[in-house]
Amino acid sequence: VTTRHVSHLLHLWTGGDLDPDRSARVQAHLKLCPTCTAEAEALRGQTAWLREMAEPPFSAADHLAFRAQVMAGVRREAAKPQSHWQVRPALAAAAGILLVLGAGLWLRNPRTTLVPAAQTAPAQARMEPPPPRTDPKPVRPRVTSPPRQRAPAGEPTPVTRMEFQTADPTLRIIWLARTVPSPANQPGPQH
Amino acid sequence: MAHATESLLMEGGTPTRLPFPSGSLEACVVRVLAGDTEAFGPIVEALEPRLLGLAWRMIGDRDQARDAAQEAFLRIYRSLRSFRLDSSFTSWAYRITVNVCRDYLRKRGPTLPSGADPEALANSESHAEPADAAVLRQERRNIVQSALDTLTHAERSALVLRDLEGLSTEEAAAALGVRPVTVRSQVSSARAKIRAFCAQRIPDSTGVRP
Repeated sequence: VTTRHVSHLLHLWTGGDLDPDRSARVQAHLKLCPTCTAEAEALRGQTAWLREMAEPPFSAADHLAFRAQVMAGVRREAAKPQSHWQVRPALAAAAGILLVLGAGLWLRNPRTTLVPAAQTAPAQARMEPPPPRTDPKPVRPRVTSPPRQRAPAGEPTPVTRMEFQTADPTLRIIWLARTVPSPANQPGPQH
Repeated sequence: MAHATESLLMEGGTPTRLPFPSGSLEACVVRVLAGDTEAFGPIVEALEPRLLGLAWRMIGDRDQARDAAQEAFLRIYRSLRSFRLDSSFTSWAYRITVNVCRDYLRKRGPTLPSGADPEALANSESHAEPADAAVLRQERRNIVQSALDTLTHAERSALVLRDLEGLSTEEAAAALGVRPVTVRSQVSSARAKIRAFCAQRIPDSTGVRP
């Protein structure tokens, strides 16, 4: 073990961070090397001195006042209504479901997603066979539209109503959508 | 053996039999989660001197340290449900406090060299010593604060936890969320910087104590 190696290890040795084997080697070297021994003493002294100089400046009264202040803050926190904490995740989950379902509907048929089901029925009939009549899956949103009356050209189309029941039985999201014709939604020329 | 905090609570929030001594911090945590806010008192009493001291050593300013420690306790209270009862509560609290202090340091940005703190001087236990000695001591404390201000946040956190708070390398690593080897490296670098800084300004700061 050279002096240089021990100097490099002294930081770890004084902190007790060396493995037993290397620690024993350093100790053996220190017995023979006054320079490294002085260095090790200096490092130990620095830690103790630093600890003394960085002693927190708070008095006993400061600590008492601080504890009272913390507990007052905690009591205020505890007094806040808990519903604040419970509703937020439910809303986030509902918003996430809404986004996923909306994106799924749009990807399946981007031109007719927001059009009431009654209006898009002929187009769907051309593209795929009609689904078998079964009970709707519980996870799917309920989509309803008002009694269909063909609106004259230029008048707004009827509103589509989508309902989502969240995990919280007291929380239901209702989404009303109305189709607005847009040139971007018209089919373009086929190439 | 992993104890999910909430699994120790019965349906109505009443604690079931606890695998901790009744006065332990973990037992207090379970009581707080069951709705007993006052059970947070023993937690504050046990940790307050260490966390307030840690905040002061990390930040170096009395008022900001108080604010940071207060914020840390509130974060601890709010996050109790996420605490895993099979881990060390003290390390977890240290970790939250270090994060709060780092947020404060980031917001504050680089600091000017510390000036004399009259309130600290008045509260210092050494006020009974001669005035010259007290002033000299306060000057040295300011130099140490300036030396700590030269460290990176990571070095300062590691040095404060390891050398000033007296945590082991493993405990400090757990509190900081890093590997022990990282703590060793940061502490070693921090010690060297502090030593160089203080040696220039205080000749007897290394080895021989003043």
